[in-house]
Amino acid sequence: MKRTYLGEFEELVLLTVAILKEKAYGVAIADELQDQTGRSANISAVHAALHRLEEKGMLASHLGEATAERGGRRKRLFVVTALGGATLSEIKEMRNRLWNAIGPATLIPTI
Amino acid sequence: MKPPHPPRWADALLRLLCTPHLLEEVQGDLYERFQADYLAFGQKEASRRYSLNVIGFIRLRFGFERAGWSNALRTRTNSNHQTPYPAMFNNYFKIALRNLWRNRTTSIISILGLSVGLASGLVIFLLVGYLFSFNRYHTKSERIYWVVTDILNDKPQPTDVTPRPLGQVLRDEYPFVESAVRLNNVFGALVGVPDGKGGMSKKFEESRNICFTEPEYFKVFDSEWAAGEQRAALSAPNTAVLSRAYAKKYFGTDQAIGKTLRLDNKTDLTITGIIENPPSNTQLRYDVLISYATLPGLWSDPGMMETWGEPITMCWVALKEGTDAARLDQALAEITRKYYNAKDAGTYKMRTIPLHEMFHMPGYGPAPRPILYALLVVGVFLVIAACVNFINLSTAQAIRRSKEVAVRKTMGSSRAQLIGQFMLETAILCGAAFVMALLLAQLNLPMLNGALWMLRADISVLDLLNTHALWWFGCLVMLVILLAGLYPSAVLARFNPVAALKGKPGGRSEGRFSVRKSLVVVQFFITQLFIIGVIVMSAQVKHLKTADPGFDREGILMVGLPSGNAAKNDAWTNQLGTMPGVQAVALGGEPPMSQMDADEPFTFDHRTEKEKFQVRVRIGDDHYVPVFGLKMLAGRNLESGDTSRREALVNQAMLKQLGIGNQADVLNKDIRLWDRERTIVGVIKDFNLDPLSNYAQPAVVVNEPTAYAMTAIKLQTGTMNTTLPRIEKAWNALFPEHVYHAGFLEDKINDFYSTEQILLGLIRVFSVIAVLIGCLGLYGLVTFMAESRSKEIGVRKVLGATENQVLCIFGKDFGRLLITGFVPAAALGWFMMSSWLQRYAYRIDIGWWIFALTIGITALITILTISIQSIQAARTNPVVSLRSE
Repeated sequence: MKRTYLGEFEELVLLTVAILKEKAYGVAIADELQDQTGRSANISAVHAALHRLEEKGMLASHLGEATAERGGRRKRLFVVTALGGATLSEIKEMRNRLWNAIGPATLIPTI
Repeated sequence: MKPPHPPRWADALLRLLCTPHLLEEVQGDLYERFQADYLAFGQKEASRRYSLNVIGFIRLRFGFERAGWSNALRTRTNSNHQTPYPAMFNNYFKIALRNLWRNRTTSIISILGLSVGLASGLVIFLLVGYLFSFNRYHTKSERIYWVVTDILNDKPQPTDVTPRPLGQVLRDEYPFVESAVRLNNVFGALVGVPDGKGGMSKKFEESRNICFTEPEYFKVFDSEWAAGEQRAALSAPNTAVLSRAYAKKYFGTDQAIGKTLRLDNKTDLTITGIIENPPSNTQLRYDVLISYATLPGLWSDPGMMETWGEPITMCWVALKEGTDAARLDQALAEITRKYYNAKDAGTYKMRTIPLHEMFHMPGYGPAPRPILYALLVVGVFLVIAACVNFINLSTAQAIRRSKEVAVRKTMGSSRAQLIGQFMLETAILCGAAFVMALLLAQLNLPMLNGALWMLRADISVLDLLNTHALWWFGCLVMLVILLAGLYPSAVLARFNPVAALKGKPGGRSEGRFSVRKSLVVVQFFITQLFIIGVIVMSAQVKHLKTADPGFDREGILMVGLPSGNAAKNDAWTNQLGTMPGVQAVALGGEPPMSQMDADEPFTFDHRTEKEKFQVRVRIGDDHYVPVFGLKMLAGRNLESGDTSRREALVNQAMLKQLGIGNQADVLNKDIRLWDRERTIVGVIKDFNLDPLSNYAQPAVVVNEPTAYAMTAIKLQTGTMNTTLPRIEKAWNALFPEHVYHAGFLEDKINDFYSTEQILLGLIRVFSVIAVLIGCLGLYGLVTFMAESRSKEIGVRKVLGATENQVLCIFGKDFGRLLITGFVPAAALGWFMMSSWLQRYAYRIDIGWWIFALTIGITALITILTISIQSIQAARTNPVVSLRSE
């Protein structure tokens, strides 16, 4: 099946959006990424990835509410689209297939 | 408490760069992050991170998209409301190139005019930059001071020297002095390379690039050390340091350490070090540095280093960092009181000159600030003239493009967009002009460097490659583009589309005060200012060269003479006397007019006190007066056998200063000079002693055979080609250990005015350029007038006007502009030139003829420039111009 290519960082961002459900926007995603993976993501990198994903149709977005700490600016909230969800599970399945093909204990270091 | 705010510049940058429809969310996220960072790390760190984050957003996706560089980078989200910038930009570019091509002649004229103007401006700015860079390259240049002494007699006489022990005292006794160095210039010396057998393999006559100096020289000044031990250099007597070029010159290699040179045929010097060649922007251009300790041996006077007498040696002082120069002045006053007796302390007044000002001090350096500023003004005027010309030509063209502008406006183009479009065109033209200007400047700089050979100038366009120069050059580029582009594009953008499409463009500005006309007035002003300057300077230089200096200068050959051998001198004059082609021969110290001069104190008529003024001494034998054609007014010439040196001649100024009215009264009075009584036997007419002196100075002519330094040979005209080699041959046979050098008095005197010559040359070239640029501007204006008034001319001709009457209209218009430009030019020109003329004792008067000539020349040039176009306009058949109405 023809599939849109997804970069590693894009995949992480997409997964993080899925984790955050309805509350996914730039800063929150960056923070969550940090918590989950331990890597500190540049906020502009997160934004760039979000826009790319939206172009690819894996994310949908709408403008949410404004808060005081944002200086009264609204946030753009992202949700994973059906295509995004399908791509993610496809990647996961493919990975599982690959792992299964390796067979148990091959890569686990022996004592 | 004020809520924390991220840095404003970062915010502004973000607003500027971020795609507008993404700005809200991006900025919101950044603010949120900033607040969190603020609580976690504080204001400073939060601001830093904020800025970094903003910079992170300068990436293709968020930034360049806004500028619209390319379709390929455009996102699909939400982009439908964006202006198609790239398309517009391409269109502007294409239209610009098409337009330039369609009006090739005008485009070439504007680019040429602009680039020639810019090139001359550039050359001037580079030259002034170079002249201002003198002596500034030393790391301590801000705190190095030159100490000089003024001798306070009747009229204070500035010198460039100090008493010999001063440097030592300053070094030893004043802790705020970091170091001080003494230095003695050698004005002429014979340097020989011994061949090891008592003779010399090579000999060179050097002047002005040899000095005696101390090891501290290398502590005070920067010089790059190439070979040898710097610490020990110049401390022992009879040692010397050479520049790399001179080591090559003397020994053919720069490995010269330990080799020997012979100074003036008597003192051997060992080379202990080699330095890199001095840079071209230094006044301390010494290629041979001889240790200061050599001096006492040379003069066989061991006590000379401690004598507080007349000032005799140059002295530079480097102060410790942070020391006020006033402390040095105090110290100098203190030293004067301490070491001099009361009378001398009143006579010798020491003062300081900052090293970086040395080059610009009137009387000490060759580039006084007023002249440099005047040059800068010339450069600015040329650039302005070039811009004005450019504006004129492009506005004249604008009228042809009114239809294009009208169509663009009808299609919804805004005024700002139109201005942007035409600014882009200007920028393309200016860019081309700047490239050409750089090339032109580089091509012409060798000529300028050649004219400044005595400074060893090496100016090049590459001098622009430092931060300071790039800065002003960048500003110049921007300024020229703005200046040249703003008005024409504003004019274009102003066209009323309805009127323009109906075929009546630019009708609004007619009849009112017109910017274009005032620009032409500016051009007339600049052109005429240049013409006035050239006329006055040419007349003055011609005057300097031809004015009667009070002595003859044609056909007199000056030949150097080694001092101190009376027998050889006699043989020399006898040989010359029998040589065909030689009319007369005189021996003496220097010609009547000379630059290097010190005045001497003297006593008159056995008075007990020395006179309050000093007298300038000219040494010469009994032939001195006739050979130089000095005029005797009373008494007689020096006796031919005046070997006892008992006679003297005085000039009129001397009588005047002494207060003696009758010339006969002074005869047979005694004068005591150099501790020797002499009787005044004759009075001579005043002659010009000093190329720039402001008045006739008192002078005396005496005979002093030991001080002969030159031979003045009056030659027959017509046989010089055969006589000159004969003289040289005879000289070389008589003085084999010396170098022959000779020159005509006339050339030497012209050399005194080399600064004026260079200045005049520059001004002449730049005036021609200014006039050419002015002509281009006039041509632009007359084209414009002929075109925009073609209907008026048509109607006039239909109603019966003759061609001459039509031409009169043009003439009247331009005449008015010319006169309007002339009035301020004459006022400013008169003011500037008369203050310049103040420098000269013998100067011309600025008469009315100068201004009449200026108007005449300008009118002639104007008529030549506008005639073709206006005659064409006047001859046009009215049917052609009125047909389409």
